[in-house]
Amino acid sequence: MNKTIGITIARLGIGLLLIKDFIIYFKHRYYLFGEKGILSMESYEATLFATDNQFLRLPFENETFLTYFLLGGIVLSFLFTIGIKPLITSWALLVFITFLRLRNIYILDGADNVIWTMLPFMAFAASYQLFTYKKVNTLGFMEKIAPYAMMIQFSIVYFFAGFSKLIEPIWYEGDAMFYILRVEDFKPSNLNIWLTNSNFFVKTSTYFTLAWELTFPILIWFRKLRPLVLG
Amino acid sequence: MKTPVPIVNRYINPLFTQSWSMFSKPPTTNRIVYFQFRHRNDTDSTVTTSWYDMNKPLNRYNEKHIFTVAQRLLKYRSASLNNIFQIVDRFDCNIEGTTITDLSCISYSAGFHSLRNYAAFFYNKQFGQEAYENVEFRIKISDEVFPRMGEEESTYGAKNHYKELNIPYTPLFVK
Repeated sequence: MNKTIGITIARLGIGLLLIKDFIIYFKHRYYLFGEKGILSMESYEATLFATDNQFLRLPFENETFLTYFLLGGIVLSFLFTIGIKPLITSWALLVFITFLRLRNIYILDGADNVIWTMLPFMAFAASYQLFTYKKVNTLGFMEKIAPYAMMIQFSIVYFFAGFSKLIEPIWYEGDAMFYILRVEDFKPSNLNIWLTNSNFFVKTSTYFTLAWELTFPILIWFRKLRPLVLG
Repeated sequence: MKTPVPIVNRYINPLFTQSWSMFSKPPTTNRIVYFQFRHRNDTDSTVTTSWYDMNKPLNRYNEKHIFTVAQRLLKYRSASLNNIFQIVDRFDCNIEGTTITDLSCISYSAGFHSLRNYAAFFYNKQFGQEAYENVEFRIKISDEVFPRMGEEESTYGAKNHYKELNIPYTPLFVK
């Protein structure tokens, strides 16, 4: 199997998620980002002021600008997904998402943060040999560094996430998944209720999550063991 | 986490701020938001509406439709509520019973502004903004404690498990 299949799947996954997100943002643009959006322009300006980033203010109150901005996001996401000009599209998407993040920070979550921090590395990673419009050879030495940078990033994230869980009674007693799967905001269906009625499922899934997060930073560095943690 | 290099810290916080220990203490309650409106109708009488549950319709919609704006709105609602509670705790807002008595404690917070905008969108859809002026609204935030691990399913959502925070009437549309 081609050695770049893993990173290629990552590029495709990130790209498709971004296309989905930008389409949703475009469809509800006035509601999410406009002048009379759910997060007011006053809150937007307060965020910029609090972070000393007033120079990053964009005219989201202008409907024409907002429309073309988000259309630009859709186009960039598509180009990134099919592997066109990765250096430009990755960094441009990073900039676009940064501006949207400042405009409405409340609608973004941890997954968005992960995508956002991975984008600069994707510009250099060797993920443009398969499933791409045109094969792209990125900078030789950066191509070798980028995947390791991403692995270091993920290792740090999962180590701290796992360790902070390990010291909490709700996790080491095996009960945490019962509550996480029951909270309405995280419950995609009533299947969660049925699953969490099983003590075996709750304990197993809680300890599995702990084990996975704690072993990920180690197993990811061994090629033969990598499939275990990456599925 | 502050870094030793100020210039790095300047862009890391808050743009890249993310608490990776967020689920180390997972939420163990459902936080439900209710809105109630008060306005004058065509006959100049004051009308108080019933309480509108902002959670259930959105949660049900999200369960039935994946890849929609509902996921973003759920995140938005959660972040707004977290901001309000953070403000209440940090500034030790005056609370009598379950009601915040000093609205100025939270009225400048992004979370409160966000909920008010959300309420305005909802009100527009329900009643049409042009129909009424001088509309006021109030918010009730209920913490619904669902059964603990090992308890009976029948206690799920029992009312005596609620904790509440009430935000009194305030103008809905700010000119």
